Order: sequence, then structure tokens, then C-alpha cells
Amino acid sequence: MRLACVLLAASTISAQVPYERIVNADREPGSWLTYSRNYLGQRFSPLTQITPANAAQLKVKWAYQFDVPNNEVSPIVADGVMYVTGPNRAAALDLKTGRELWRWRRPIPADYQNIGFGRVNRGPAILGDQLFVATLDCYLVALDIRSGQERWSTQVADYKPGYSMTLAPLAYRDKVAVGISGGEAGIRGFIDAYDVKTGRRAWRFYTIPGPGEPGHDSWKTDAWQTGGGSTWVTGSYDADANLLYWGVGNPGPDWNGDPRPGDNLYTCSLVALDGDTGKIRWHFQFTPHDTHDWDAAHVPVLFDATIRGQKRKVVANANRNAFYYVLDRENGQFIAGQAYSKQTWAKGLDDSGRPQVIPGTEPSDEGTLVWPNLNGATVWFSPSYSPATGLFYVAVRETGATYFKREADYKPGTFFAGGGQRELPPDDVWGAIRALDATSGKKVWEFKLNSPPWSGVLSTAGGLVFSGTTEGNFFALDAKSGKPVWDFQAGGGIGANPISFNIGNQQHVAVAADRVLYVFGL
Amino acid sequence: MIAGSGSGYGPELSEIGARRSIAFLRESIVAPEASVPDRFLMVEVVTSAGATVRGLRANEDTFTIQIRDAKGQFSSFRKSDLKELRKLSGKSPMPSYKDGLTQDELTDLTAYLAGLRGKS
Repeated sequence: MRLACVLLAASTISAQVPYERIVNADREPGSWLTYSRNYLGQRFSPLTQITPANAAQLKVKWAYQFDVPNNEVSPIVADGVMYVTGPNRAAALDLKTGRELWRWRRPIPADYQNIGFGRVNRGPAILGDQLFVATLDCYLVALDIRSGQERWSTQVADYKPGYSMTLAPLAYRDKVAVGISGGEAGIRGFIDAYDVKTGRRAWRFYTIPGPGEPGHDSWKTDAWQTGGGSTWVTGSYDADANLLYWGVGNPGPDWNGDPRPGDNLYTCSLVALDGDTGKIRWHFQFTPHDTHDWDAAHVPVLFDATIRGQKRKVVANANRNAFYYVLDRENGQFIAGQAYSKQTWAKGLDDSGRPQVIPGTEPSDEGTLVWPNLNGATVWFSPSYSPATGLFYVAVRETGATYFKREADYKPGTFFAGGGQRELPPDDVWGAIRALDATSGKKVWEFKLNSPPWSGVLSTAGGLVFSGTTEGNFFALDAKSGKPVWDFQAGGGIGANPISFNIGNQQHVAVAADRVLYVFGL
Repeated sequence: MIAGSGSGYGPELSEIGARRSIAFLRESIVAPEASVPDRFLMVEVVTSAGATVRGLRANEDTFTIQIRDAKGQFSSFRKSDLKELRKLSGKSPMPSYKDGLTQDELTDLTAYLAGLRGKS
């Protein structure tokens, strides 16, 4: 009886992360409870201790070594514990020391293939007393946050035809949503939501509409069956409207649009889905009939703003196609947009936000030189929106490529891309952290980078912007001016999203750099 | 450097004959700036104190650059401390031997380089 009481007491004082804590993330700025810290996708920390005046004193407080390279994790921080993931792995770390509290592994099947992307994982989700991890072999797994033991695992898809999962799930209310990778393998994309208690699927939204569904007529042939439309980057959530916002990837085959005439909905689009049912509320297609692999694989960034005298609830997207968009997030209406990076494929956007495509910019047999390259002006790594400055910060890749078109025959579980690209010489390409006026996309400042980046951006109420470089620099910029105030050579390329949180009452910043996760503090 | 001998300032030549054609090797002797690989980019920096350092770029990131001069010495600079950083694309530290060798000498040297195929 006494033991039972002790166990009961222990369980009741164990940390829980109910939905209310996540939706009210600003009430506990020292935590990082969902992929982008808040459901709005802003990757903004309200913490203020680290500032442009003292950032030069930042030092490594601890480091954690992964057992695989190229880590892209955006950790979760809750109640003195940091949760990290890698490909088919997860661990809980003591927030004070970085020491492992538990670890979890799931074997990667010997016949698993990653077609068109790396063997990576971008982070976990937390809700209640469970940690959610999406695996390469397409299982969604719920782990007990105290022990790392499995509560349930559900097969989301069969990995053998090319489906995979690399993203951080999005846990909201009583569900956990995931998307899938595989846009270079001729999959038919979808977004799923699962019951957090049972692991049973609550709904599925196919990003390629089937016969009889709205949007199917944007596919003039049977190509929709292998039409791609992957959903490999975590979406955002408007809790008041109960709407999920999720970016959709490229159509397949990527660089040969001949077999798939039409706009190819909902590829290269943003979709708004009812959180309870998965039913589509609206969509906006950034790149109709894409032939350059310009997925809309971005975290949608939600904020409220006064635009032309009107209060608007908007969603912003710095797209892989090099244009920045501001949409009304209640109905998908185009509000504003402009190029934020060099692009040579469109004259601009029309009044509805549709690109005015320049003829002759499609991939060709002999090769067509176009900006941006297939990785886009930016890609999966997160941008940041600061309510303090009203600026949208994005890591920009300034590079073009010569695109080639080739025949593409679909065979399940094989590369189905219909071409490729030839890169520009390394010294002809570069990168930047760019601050844009969030309501228009107009450039306010930029900080140039030596090469096109693969790191996300974090902004803070302390007036800083953090990001990383491919050469291993982790750095802080003044959020108002873009002037560098601190940098650190991490010894490995940074291809991850930074986060900020408190250890005790002290603000810290963390980022993964290849095999090491660094935690910095004053 | 060839079979462990030389300064190492330029490319490793021990197997150059297996990697490059005779025409390419001949051109590299008479016109070394016709084709300079990316990893042999010449750079020149002027420090805030006014000193000029010229050499091959050993490495570079957003905040720093490392340079190896003709003596094999490394220098490392923070870019914010430099007055100037010039990338001399297409420049080679190797002079042209177009007028320094006879045709026979050029043919002999080209043949020698073409015969460098590493350990058999």
C-alpha cells in the first residue's frame, strides 16, 4: 500500500504537456514545446536575456554527440528535459548536463531506400506524457516521455514503393499529424492525423485529388496516380480556427512535365485543413505545373497584421520558387507577394498571386539555365517571424542551375524524376540571411553568407537572429540591423533549426551541427 | 609534389598522367591560367594594418579565411579585420613556361608528366 502511494505520488508529479500548455506557449517562454515553439510556426523566442550587447559572451555549456551524421533535429524542451531525435532514434537528455536519461531505437529495415533525400529526422512532438517520432520506414511511434518505452506504433505507409517520414510530427488537441516524403519516387502524397491515445488514424487528406474530388481535373491524364505531392515539412496550426496549414511538395516526375499536363493540384501548394476531419478549407498553389522541384516544403508562418489599414489574419511563405507570399489565412486570398531572391523563371505575380511564367524556362534536353536551382531560394529549414520587429527572417540560397529533362518510367521504389540539374561552380553561388517586411516581402536588410545555407533561423525578443552555415559557423545577428554580434565554429556543417529555452532561469540557445548538438549560454 | 618530393604548393602530380590528357598537360605548362581548379583559388588580402598577403585559399567560411603562401605558411584572418579581400579567379601562382622552354623541352616535360601514373 505504501509503495503504491509512493508510485502514485511519483506519477502525479511527473511532467505532463497537455494541449493547453502548447497552445499557450507564450506563458512559459523558457520551454520549447512544439516544432516551431508555437503553433503559429514563428520560431520566435520571447526570451530576452541574450541581447546584441552581451551575445559576444556566449559559450558552449554542454554538447551531445549523435551516433549518425547530418543531424537536422529541432529539439523539444519541457520540464528540465530535452528530447532529440535522429533517423529511427530518439533520446531524452538532462537539460542541465546533456546526459542521456533514456534512448530509443528502431531498426531501419535492410531493404529500406531513401529516394531523393537523406536519412534524417527533424524532431519529435510532445503531448501529454507521450513523445511522438516519425520513422524512415513510415511508422508513427508514441513513446512514454519518462522511460522512452513504446506506447504504440502505427504504420503510416509502406516504405517499399518509396514512402518515408523525416519530419517532426505536429501534436494538437487529441491528435498528432504527419506528412510523408517520397516525391521523387512517384508516390501519391497525403497528410494524416492519428488519435494520440490509440494510434488509430483519424483522417487522411490526399494531396493529389482522386477522380470525383475537387482539383482532380487539374490532372489531364492518369499521371495523378504517381503525382507526388509529398508533405515532408511540419505544418502550422491556428488553434482558434482549428485549421492546419501544410505545404505540399512537387509533382512527379519532377523535371519532365510532359506526362502530366495541367496545374497538378495540390502540388507546390499550401493547404488549409480542418483539424477534426482533414477536409480541405482552401488551397493556394505557388507554382502551377512545376517542373523545377520547387516543393512548397516550408513551415507556414502565421501572424496577425494591419495591412493597408485592415487587420488581417495572414499566413506568410518564403517559397522555394523565390517569391514571398502573404495570404489571408481564413480563405487563402492572395494579399501581397514579390521575389525575395534572384529568379529568372517568372516576370512576376499577377493580381491573384499566380506566377507569370517566362516561356522557355522549363528543363530541356540540352539544358536550361534558371535561378533558383532545384533546392530553391530556400527550402525545408525554418524561417522566423518576430512580433517584436515585424520582420520575417529567412535563410536564402542564391544559386541557379542548368536543368535537364529526361524520360521517366514509373517503377515502384525507384527514382522517378525525369531529369536533373548541373550546379554552378562553388564560387558563383552564395547565401544570405534576409530580413523582409513581413507584410510585403520587401527587403529590409541582408547578411551575406559564404555559400548557400541549409540552416534555419531563430529570432528572439532579446533582439537577435540566430542561424548557421554549411561551413559550420553558428552566429547571431542584430535583429534590427543584421550586423553580426557573435559567431562560433562548430566544426561541422549546420543543417538544422536553432531553438532557445531556459535552463533554470538562464536563457540558452541550441543547434545541431552535423554529429553534435551544442547548447550555448552566457 | 611527385612521389613525396616537392613543396606541395601546387597539385599532387604523382598520378597526373592517369588523370589528365597530354593536351591538357601541355596547355597547363604554357598557359597555366587556362584552367585553374576551384581548390586552387588565388586570393589576396590587405589587413587593417596595411599588410598584403597573397596565396592559395586553404579554406573559407562566412567569417574567416585561411591562406597558404608560396612558402607553405598558413595565415588565418577574420574577414571583419580585413581592409580588402580579393579573389583572383583564373589566376595561377605558376608562371607560364611558354617562352622559357624550347619545343623539345616542352615535349619532354609533357611526356614525363604523362608518364606519371602512380604505383603500378
